[in-house]
This record gives sequence, structure tokens and C-alpha cells, in this order.
Amino acid sequence: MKILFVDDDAMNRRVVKDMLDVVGASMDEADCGEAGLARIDDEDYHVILMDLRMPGMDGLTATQLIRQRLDAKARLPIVVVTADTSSDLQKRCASAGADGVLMKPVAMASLIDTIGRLMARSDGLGVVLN
Amino acid sequence: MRATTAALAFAFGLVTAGPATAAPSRPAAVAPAPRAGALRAFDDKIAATKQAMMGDPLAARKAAEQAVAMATAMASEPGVSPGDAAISLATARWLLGETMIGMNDTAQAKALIDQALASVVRFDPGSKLEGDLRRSRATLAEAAGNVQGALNDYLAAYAIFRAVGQQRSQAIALQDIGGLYLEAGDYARVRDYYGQSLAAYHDDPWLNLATYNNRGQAWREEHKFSQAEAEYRLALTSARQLESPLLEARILTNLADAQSQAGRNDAALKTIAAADRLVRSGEGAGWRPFVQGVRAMIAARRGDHQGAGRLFARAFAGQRLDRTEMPYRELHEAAAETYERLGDRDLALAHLKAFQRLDSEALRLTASASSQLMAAKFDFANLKRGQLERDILIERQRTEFRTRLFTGLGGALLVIFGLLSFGYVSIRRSRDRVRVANTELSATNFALEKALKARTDFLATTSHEIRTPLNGILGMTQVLLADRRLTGDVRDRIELLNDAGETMKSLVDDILDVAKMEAGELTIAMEDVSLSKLIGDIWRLWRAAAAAKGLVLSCSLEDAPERVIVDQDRLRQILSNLLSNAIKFTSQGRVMLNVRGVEHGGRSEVEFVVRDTGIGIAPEDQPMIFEAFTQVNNSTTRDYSGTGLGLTISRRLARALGGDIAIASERGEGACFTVTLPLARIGTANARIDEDAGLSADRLDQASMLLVDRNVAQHALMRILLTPEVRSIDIVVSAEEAIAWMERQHFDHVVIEGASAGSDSMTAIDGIRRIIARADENATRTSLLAAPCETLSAAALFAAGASQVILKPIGAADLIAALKKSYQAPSPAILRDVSSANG
Repeated sequence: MKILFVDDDAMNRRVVKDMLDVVGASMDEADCGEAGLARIDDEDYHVILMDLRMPGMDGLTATQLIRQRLDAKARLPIVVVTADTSSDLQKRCASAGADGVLMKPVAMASLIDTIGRLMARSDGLGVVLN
Repeated sequence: MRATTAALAFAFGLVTAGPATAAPSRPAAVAPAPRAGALRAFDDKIAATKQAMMGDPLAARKAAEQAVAMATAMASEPGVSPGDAAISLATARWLLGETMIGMNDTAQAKALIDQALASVVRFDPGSKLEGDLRRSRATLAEAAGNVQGALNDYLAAYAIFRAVGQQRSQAIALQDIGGLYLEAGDYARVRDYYGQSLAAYHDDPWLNLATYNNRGQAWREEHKFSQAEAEYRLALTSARQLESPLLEARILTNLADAQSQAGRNDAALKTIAAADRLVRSGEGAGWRPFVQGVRAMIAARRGDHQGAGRLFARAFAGQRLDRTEMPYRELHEAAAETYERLGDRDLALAHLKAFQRLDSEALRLTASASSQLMAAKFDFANLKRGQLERDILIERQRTEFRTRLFTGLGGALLVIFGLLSFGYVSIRRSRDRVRVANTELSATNFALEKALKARTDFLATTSHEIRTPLNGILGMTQVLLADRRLTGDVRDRIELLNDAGETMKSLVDDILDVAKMEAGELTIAMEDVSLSKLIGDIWRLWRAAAAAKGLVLSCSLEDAPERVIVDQDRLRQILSNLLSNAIKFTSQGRVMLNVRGVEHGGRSEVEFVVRDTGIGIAPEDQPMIFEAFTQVNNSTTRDYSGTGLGLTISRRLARALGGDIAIASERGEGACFTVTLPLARIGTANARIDEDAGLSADRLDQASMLLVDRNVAQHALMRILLTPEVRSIDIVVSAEEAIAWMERQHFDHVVIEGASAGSDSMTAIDGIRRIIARADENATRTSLLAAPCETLSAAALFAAGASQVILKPIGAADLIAALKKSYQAPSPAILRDVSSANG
């Protein structure tokens, strides 16, 4: 189980890494949209966690660019992780192609729930156990 | 007192120039040509309309409607060009639109003005009619709170009037812009624009009156009373030229207030006495209570409280104090103070009550108008960015029209009407919707709104910033608490740290919610909701919190619809706030959540009643508990912690959903909160709730699960997949380990990955059997998850005796569905387990 977290704040990354460590999932880190995209090129991930506001490429742009890929990675599950509370947040994230939104501060239970439910989604994009 | 009089000045002092109707809008080049009969008759009708607009709005509207009909018919007349017909129709529509604006029918007015503007832009661009129409459109934009749009149109109108040499119209457009700044509280610019208006045209006493009065007001807002007085004296000259006792009295009232605030109470008394003489009879009589009120305020400032008391009595003579309207608000406040000094407690209280009634009405209006007003404020920030360029432009043009001033005075007849010409109680023009909101809200004048906006911004920013470090604190406490090796004192301490962090987080969330509501950013998302699921979830969530305090939380549903349309997040928030409070303030006994469907006045409503046996709330404290940052009396605060924001938020949310919250309680008798929401019933089914649901592990989400899976690389995925679905999950790698764990603790459900129970298929089937045998002893449900292969056939798998066999490969969603299904439709094998589990 491998997850990528794109966030410019090192403390945030550390917290989420430790939370994922509790359930045994490993996490890679990137501190901006560009670095995140490069990581996705090189590695296979189950889920991408994406902050919105970052120096350099922001999270929504990175999300859109992932969705525009021509390979299977275009359908990677993407969860936006943000402290943004504006009322149109959900709409903006959905139209950029994100699959879910997690509010900071991230609660461990909702982090695991969100990822778990994405893995078990019933639209054909969920994981298959062999 | 300072704020009071400033607000008073605003309420009483607003004077606007109305639209520049009635100027001949047809291009001068057209007029000398011989007019077709239809055109001549039309011109007469237009003239009649303009005449009627001066005094009789209904007749004006009728005439304008006839003009529209004539212009429409004209299109098919011979001898009338399509352009002439279009312009005639646009002219008629403009006048009809203006009468609609005068009668507060903004929607119709907007349609007419937009249509007219579209055809003028096509057939006669840059004409005075275009300028007039842009002004009308700006008026409507301003009324709708679109300040940026209004400014653009006013500026465009100004440029057109300037190009066609219409000085008086230019002056009016400049006054319009000045008016925008008056709303924004930018008084230096108010004076600047009105000054430019005066430079553009100064032969019209109406315009001059508006200029001097509003400049006076701008000075008065800045507490520069001698300058204000000088302006008011000039305004007085104009008012006298217009031979209107009412206008004169209004200016005198403003002047008296400025003098009194400057400390010149003797002069103020003389001035107000002069105003009083003017309003004893005739058109100004309606103004008299205000003259007397200001007189009373002056008397009070002089220390003559007896006199002030008598004058207030006269100002309020014949008025029911519980029915007065917004302009009386400050008078009530001042009267309450005076009667308090005079020792007349009853009257003081009556006025205080009236003041509070209007004050809360003002606040209510603020809430409803706030998003508009805030938007207007926001636009002003943008507006100022382009200010410098525009100022330079206008300055240059001002020089130009000084040289032109006496060269191009057209014979245009200009009718100005508006607030001013009809007196303060007469027709209020709809262009002033935003302004009226302000005028009525004397208390929430611009200074207050700025403060409110600043506070909202501050709260939003601060609560956002606090979230970042909280992220680190709460994240790490959760990680620490997830470590089972942590025990005893250390776990207790970290739990305390975690609880404190959670409390802080909900505090920050509440503050942010309130800030958003105050900024008018509350969003509601209605959806089709199952009430039994929603209430069941809420109940199960809070039952644990109640149980932890030794309380029982019961839940019942009576005639409540199963399906309703509601914003379920908001409803959950309301009920969670109420339940959290009830549990917090109850030390013994029970908390009840009762949901019932009722018919009220022919519409269906749902009542959500939260009742407790706690400390209760004394009746006199009840009005306060919904106010932000209030907690009833000190002893409560000492005994219980909390912000008091929960109830504020809940009531606002309930109101946003079209309902409300009521409270019934006596001190020491427990409290009962009733949320009433207008929820239409979908279908006929009633919501049902199973009292026992979730108490025993007869649902997957209540189950403690043990997973036996040899493939360690798969553990994280399985844990993440199953965690949202079960109460707890443990994972082991072998049959031996599984059996050892089952010896130590009880599991409700064991899931065996088929290949995991042994090192090969032979030992595997043996391992599976041993696990199932052990599980059966404890009435534990078993699911066997396996891929049949040559050595491990499907038949062998089914024969192993598991409650359920799930064949791989399987999608994660199907796996979870299958696990859930094992609880819903028990197979005979499972039935055995369930009966022994419950028996």
C-alpha cells in the first residue's frame, strides 16, 4: 500500500506519514505540484493526497494535469487535503477531478476511512483482491 | 452619544438628486425636421408623462404605458423611420422604467431599461438618452448592491453628458458618484465629487441643496462641525429658493444637531425653534416629531433634563412606544437616558424596550442585508484601485467645463425628484434599497459595518491560522493513542491532551462558522435524506458520550417521515450541538431525543425535541442563550466549560433551513429545546428506529474483526479497506497465531484468507478447520476468503464449515458488500452463530 502526499508543510507531511504508518501503509512526499507529478511518473501509488495551496504548482492544477494523462494513472484516486473552508471548495475540487476532500486538521479516522472507501469504490475503479 | 448623533445625522440627513428625467432625449438634429403626426402625438404624450412624474407617480406610470403603446404602434406607421421608432420606444420604455423605479418595482424596471439601452446603443449611441439610460441602470445596480456596476454606468453617463454638452446632467452624474462614496463612508471624496458637481452646474437650487446638505453631512460625520454648519447655511439658502418649508426644516434640524454637537447649544436651540415654526402645519407636519426629538436631545445636552423629558413626551405623543419605526431608534435611546435621570423608571424602561426592539430589528436587517452590504464594501476596495486614473480624468475635464460653463447651457427642462421632493415619509425610491437598509439601520452605520467586517475577517483568518498547529498536535496525539503498547498514566495523559485539542478544534470550527454566517457565506445543500438513518447515526454517536457520564440517551420517533429534503450536515450539526449541550449540563438522569411529524397550518413540519434533566435555564436568561459568546451567569461558567457558540450556530442554521429553535425550561428543572423545521414528507413511510440496533454485534460496523492473512504486503490495504467498516480490526499471519489471539480476547468475526492457514494447501485446509472450530466455541462468525485451485477445491472450501465463503478474485466493494450481507440475510450456517450469540 503506497500513498503520495503532496504538501509544502513538512509538519503536515510528517503527521500524515505517521498516521499511515499505524495502519502499515507507506507514504512518499512531495512539496509542490511539480515534484508530485514527477513522483507519479516514477512510482505506482494507490492514492494521492493533495494539498491545495503550495508554492509553485497548486494542488488543483496538479490534479487536473493527472486527469489529463493518457495512461491508467489518469484515474488515480486523488484526495484533496486542505484547511480551505470556502463554500465552493467541494465544487472546485470536484470539477478539477478530485475524488474526495479531507479538511485539516486531518483526523486519523477520517484519513483511513476516506482512503478505504476510495479503495472499495463500486464504480469499477476500486481495487481487486487476487 | 457621539455615535447616536452621527447615526441620527445619517438617518435624517440623506438628500439625493433624483434622475434627470424629462430632458428631451431625441437628438437635436431630429427635432427641427417636420414631424409625422404619430411622432407629434408621441412627443405630447412624453411631455405629459414627464409632467406627471413631478407629482403623481400613478398617472405618470399610466401615461408612460400609453407612450410605450404608441411607440410600439409607430413602428408600422408610414413616414416613421425604423430608427425613429426604435428611439421613441426606447424613450417611452425609459420613462416607464423610471416610474417603475419610483414605485419600487425594480424587476420590471430593469427589464425595460435593459431593452431600451440595447436599442439606443444600436440606433443612437452616445446620445443623451444613452446617458440617461445608463444612469437608470446604475440606479438599479446600486439598489441591487452592485456598486462596481453602478459606478461604471455613472461614469459612462457622465462621459456621455459631457460629450453632448449637458452640464446639468453631468452635475447629477457627479452627485451620483458622490452618493456612492457617501455610502462607503469616504467623506473626502463625497465633498470632492459634490464640489465638482457644483462646478459643472450651479443654477439649480435642487442640485445645490443636495450638494450643500451632503457635504455638510460629510463634515458632520467627521465631527468638523463648523464646516458642516457653513454648508448647511448654504443649503438653507437653496431650500428657501425652493420655497419648501419641509426642506428648510430638515436642513435646520441637521444644522441644529451640528451646532449642538459642537457645544453651541444656545444657537442650536434657536435653529431648532425656527425649524419647529416651519413644521407646525402643512407638508412638514410629519417631520415635527423629529424636530421635537432633536430639541429634546439638545435640552438634554444642556443639562435640562426636565425640559428634555417634556419634549420627548411631545415627540412621542400619540405614538405607541411598542410600534415606532426605525428613525425613532436614537430618540428612544436618548429618551431612555433622560427618563432614567428623571427617575421615571417605567418610561425609561418602555423607551429602552423600544430601543432594543428597533435595535434587534436593525441587527436582523443587517443579517439579511449583510451579504449585499459586504459585497458592496468589497467592491469599494476594488473601486479605489482605479481611483487615481479616474480622478485625473475628472480633474482634467473639470477644467474643461469651467471654460464651457456659460457657452452651452441648453434649454433642457430638468426634473429632479427623489427622496427630497416627497419628504421623508413619502415614496422611497428603490435605487436606495442598499441605502435604505443603511438608513433604517441607523445603528449599523458605516463605521459599525466596517468594524463588523474587520471582525469577521479577523475571526476567519485567526481560526484558519490556529488550525495549522492544531493539525500537528491532534495528529500526533492520535498517532500515539493508536499505539496499543501505550498504557496506564501515559495513555491517560495523552488522552487528556487529545481531548483538549479536540475541544480547541471545535471552538475554532464554531468561530469560523459564526464568522461565515456573519459574512453571509452560509451555504445550504438540500438533499433527499433518510430520517431514520440520520437520527439513528446521531443517536448512536451521542449515546456513547452520554453513557460515559452515566446518562441514558433515549431516542424515539413519532409520525416522522422516513424521507425528507433537508441539508443533512446542517441538521446533524444542530442536533449534535443540542445533544452535546444537554449531556454537558446534565449530571444525572437522562437525555431524550424525540422526533415527531406535525401538521401546522396545513404544512408539514418535523419537530426535533431534545430534553434533559439537567440544571435548566431560568426564564429571564433564556433570551440570551442564543447570543454569540454568551453563557448564562457566572456560576454556570464555573461549573461547565464551553463557548456558548453552539446555540447561536444552531439557531442560525435552523433559521437558514426555514425553521427555528424554541426553548422551555425552569432553573433546576431541566431544559427542552425544540427545533421545528418545515420538512415536506416524501412518500408515506414513517421513520422507524430500532432501540436495540447496534447494541450487540449484529452489524458489521459493530464487529471486532480478526483477519488471518499470510501476505504481509497486503496487510495495509486490508486494514485500510476494513477499518471504515468495522469497530476494530486485528491482523495475524497464521492459524496458530489466530488461535492464540482468540484465546486471549473475543472477536465477533474472523476472516480467513484461505491460503494463509497453512504453508501448503493440505495444511491450509487443516488450519482453516482449526480456526473455525475455535471460532464456533465462542459463537464467532467466520468468513473464508479464498481462490479455489487444483489442490484447494471450492467443494473443500465450502465443506470447511465457515459461516460464509467468499471466492477470489473479488473487488473490494464486493468483498465489503458480502461481509455486510452475512449480517442481513443469515444463511443456515450463520443462523447457528447468531442464535448462540444472542442466546
